[in-house]
Amino acid sequence: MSMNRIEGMWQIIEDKYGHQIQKGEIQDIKNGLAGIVELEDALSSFRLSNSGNPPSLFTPLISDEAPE
Amino acid sequence: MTLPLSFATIRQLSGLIRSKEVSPLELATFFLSRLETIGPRYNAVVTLTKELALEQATTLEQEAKRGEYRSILHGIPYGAKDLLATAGGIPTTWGASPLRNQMFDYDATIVKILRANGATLAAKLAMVELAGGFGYRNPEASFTGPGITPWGDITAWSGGSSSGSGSAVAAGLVPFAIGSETWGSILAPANNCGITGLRPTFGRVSRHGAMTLSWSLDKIGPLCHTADDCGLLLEAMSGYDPLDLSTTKREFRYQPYRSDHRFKIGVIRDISSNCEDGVKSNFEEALSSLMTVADIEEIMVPDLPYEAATRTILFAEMGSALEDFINSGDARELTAREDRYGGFAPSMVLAKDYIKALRIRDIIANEADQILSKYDALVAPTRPTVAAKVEGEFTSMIRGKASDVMGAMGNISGLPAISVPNGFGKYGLPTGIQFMGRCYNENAILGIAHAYQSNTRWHQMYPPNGNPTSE
Repeated sequence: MSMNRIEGMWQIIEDKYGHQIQKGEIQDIKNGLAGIVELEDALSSFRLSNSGNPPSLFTPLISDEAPE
Repeated sequence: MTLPLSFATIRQLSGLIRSKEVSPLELATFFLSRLETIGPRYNAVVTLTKELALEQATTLEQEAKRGEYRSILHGIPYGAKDLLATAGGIPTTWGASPLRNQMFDYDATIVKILRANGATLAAKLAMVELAGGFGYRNPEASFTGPGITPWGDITAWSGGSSSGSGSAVAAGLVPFAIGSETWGSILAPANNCGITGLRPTFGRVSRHGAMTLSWSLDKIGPLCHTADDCGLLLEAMSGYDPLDLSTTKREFRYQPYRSDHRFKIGVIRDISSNCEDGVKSNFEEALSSLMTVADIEEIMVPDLPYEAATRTILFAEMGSALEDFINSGDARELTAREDRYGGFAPSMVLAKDYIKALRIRDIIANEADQILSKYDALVAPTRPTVAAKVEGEFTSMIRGKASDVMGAMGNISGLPAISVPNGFGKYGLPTGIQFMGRCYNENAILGIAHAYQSNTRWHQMYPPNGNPTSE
């Protein structure tokens, strides 16, 4: 487990939301960040070709008035 | 009248209305009284919509007297999960204390559709705060208190996040309820409350006016006493909505089960291996019963990051959907301690990981479709355990690392699934079995579930005092 990655994300959260967080909650938030690192690692270890079938990430919106 | 109204199905109640044995106003009054008096026992109700229900029922009664019926739902009361917007000064709280006075000036599309079909809205039903997106760990996570299942020798959780929808139907407080599922929120309450719950195909039912947890995972569906009722409801609920561009233009027509049809069902190898004993034995018994109507084959599924991809999509979309709420600091007023800061970590999912998860989704959806092209359904225990005690922590599929291949594969691919009760386990609490089908083929899973319910009586057992007895 990369403590640096967890600490890095924690710094972002602290910068943005530190005023909302109580001291006793910090470790629990870091445990949640460890889960995010695990997700990232699980996805990274799954290799995908970048020239295979393009994924369906976006479909152009076609209005009723659009010409064929 | 010999039929116990409290636990009558939609089909039965509709028959009674048409034969004039009961009127819409009598039904509304009957169920409003049950919601008012019994609802608090299970923390099932947020807002009783008494005035609206009686007004709607009065109109429907006049129509019935003239022999005019809007649909099979004419005069049937129901409850809606409190994440569906309702106009007319009825609050929509999303189960969250800081939003307990939230008002909308419009009705969710599903509320409008049900009204047009003659169903009467009797209550807004309790739910886990913000549909559980902030990673709650125990059933307390709702400002209306923990949802309680009417079953069991102990006080146990009704499941979430459609907690009130589950317990209200199970306790006979409404003939049906509307819930929503992002990952498990219809099937888990159906399991814990011993009722039938249908998660429709993604895009079958409009989500306009519903709280968003995840735009590409959220589905709206019914919780009922039977699979047959779920089929009737889905036909009424589904359809294209220009206010929700994810809705399909494919029409759904419910085709009730034909007893001459033989099904083909796949069961993933070792799918029940992590289940507690009672769940496992009930599952095996259910498979034996299903063999009278289906051929069952063991299958393998490819090794893919089902849970990691689903969780990543959920976290990233939730971080965006609830960004304003997170930034506002209102989360400090949430009921569960862990929900007050639970939105921060999921917001840290990287954009590249979200995109990667979406690319993996295409692969999973294709694999699932390939598998399901050979079967009417895949079958599995709905949950690996019976309901958790209300005062304890529970295992969350969304938050935790628990394996839930069926739930992850089904929700990331938008597949329909139905859970039906299949017995009782520890502490006299119900267990469930789920059937998951191919996209847009709800009729297949409804048919299998109906066939199973034609051969068993679990769905006809009601909880008078928390003990499994048949009414």
